Amino acid sequence: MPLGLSPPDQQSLILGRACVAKDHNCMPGAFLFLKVEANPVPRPMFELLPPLNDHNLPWMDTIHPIVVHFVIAMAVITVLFDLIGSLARRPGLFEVSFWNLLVATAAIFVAIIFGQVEAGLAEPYGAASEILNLHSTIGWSLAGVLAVLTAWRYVIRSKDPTRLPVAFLGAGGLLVVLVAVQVTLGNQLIWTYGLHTVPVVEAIRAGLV
Amino acid sequence: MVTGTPSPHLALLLAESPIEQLARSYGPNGLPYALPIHPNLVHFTIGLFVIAITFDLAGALFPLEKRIFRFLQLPVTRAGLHDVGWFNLLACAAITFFTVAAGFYEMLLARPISGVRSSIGLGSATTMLWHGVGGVAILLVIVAMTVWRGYQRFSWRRDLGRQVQWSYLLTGLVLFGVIGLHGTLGAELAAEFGVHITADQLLAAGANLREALP
Repeated sequence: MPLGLSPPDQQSLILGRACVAKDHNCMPGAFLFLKVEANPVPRPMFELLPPLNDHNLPWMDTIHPIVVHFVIAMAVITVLFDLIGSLARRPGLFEVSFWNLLVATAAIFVAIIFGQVEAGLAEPYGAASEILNLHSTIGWSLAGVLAVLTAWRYVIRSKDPTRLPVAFLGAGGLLVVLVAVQVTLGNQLIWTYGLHTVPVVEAIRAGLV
Repeated sequence: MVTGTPSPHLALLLAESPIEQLARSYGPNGLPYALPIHPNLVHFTIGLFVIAITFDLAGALFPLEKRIFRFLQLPVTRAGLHDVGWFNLLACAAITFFTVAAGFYEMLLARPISGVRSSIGLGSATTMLWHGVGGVAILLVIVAMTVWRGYQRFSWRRDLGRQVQWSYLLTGLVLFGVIGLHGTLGAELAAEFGVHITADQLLAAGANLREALP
């Protein structure tokens, strides 16, 4: 274990690049929190950061799964309202869809920021490393997809807010599939591999995993 | 030889409760499927509720933010913002019945790790009780607020620009806090008590994760 976990009182935090230290979640330019066991150089500034708790986090609970509420719910509901609006001929719903899409797009960038920090502290083991890599890659891609869809939707809405091209509905279908895959991968990291849960963090710190 | 307390032999003859029978045939996470459903429906309940109230708030404060939207060249109507507030809340109320139902099913099958106290000092049974009762209470409040919101939209404030009462928005903001606490209890059931988490349950059963979860 190159970055062996130690009890929180012995830990210190440094900021570094995840790529240098570990093979998982290697995102160019993404700065993450990494721990070092023995830190001979005193770094008074880093002591300002909260120490890692029994979830291996500098804060109480994982924040990423909370922020993704606003990506998942808004991305799915925007497609649902588009579908109902088209089938039931209720163009008023297109406006509701537009705003939900805007919220999903804004939220995904916040989700990525917290996702990267928490992924850097996740210490994935076994197949979880691969799942985390894929989850990160799809997460960044989803940000691009949502941004493009929002821009496209802005143009559609500017021209005629009461009409929605079938092509946009199709793109919405693809968005839902992508979100579903991404949610499944995130679910596996928590519900199968238990990353950031107390028992797994304990086991990793004890060198059992 | 039947006495007041059943003998060990008699206890063997007693049928298991339906939940015990079900739980015995399930996977290491204690569920008949790999990933729990309740936490995924929670995304919709919380996301839709928070955005519904936020957009109604934006609609209520519309005169203040009009210039910002104009500066951003983003065409917007007050009624459009209130539409988001109404339809998102309606969707939230509908899906939350399933959130609570899935939560109860998965709580009946929960096997919290014994001897654990949460970071706020509660045991697993207390945490589950608060989370279970709180979930039903929140569902009731969401449904009541949806009815309230409907009356404001279609009757009381139909002809007014600001479609919601300040008291409605305040109730929504209070519920943000309640949902935040409630969600923390739910998160602790997973991340601290290991409920329905395969790795945590395997560790509690003494398995080696290097072999059990390669």
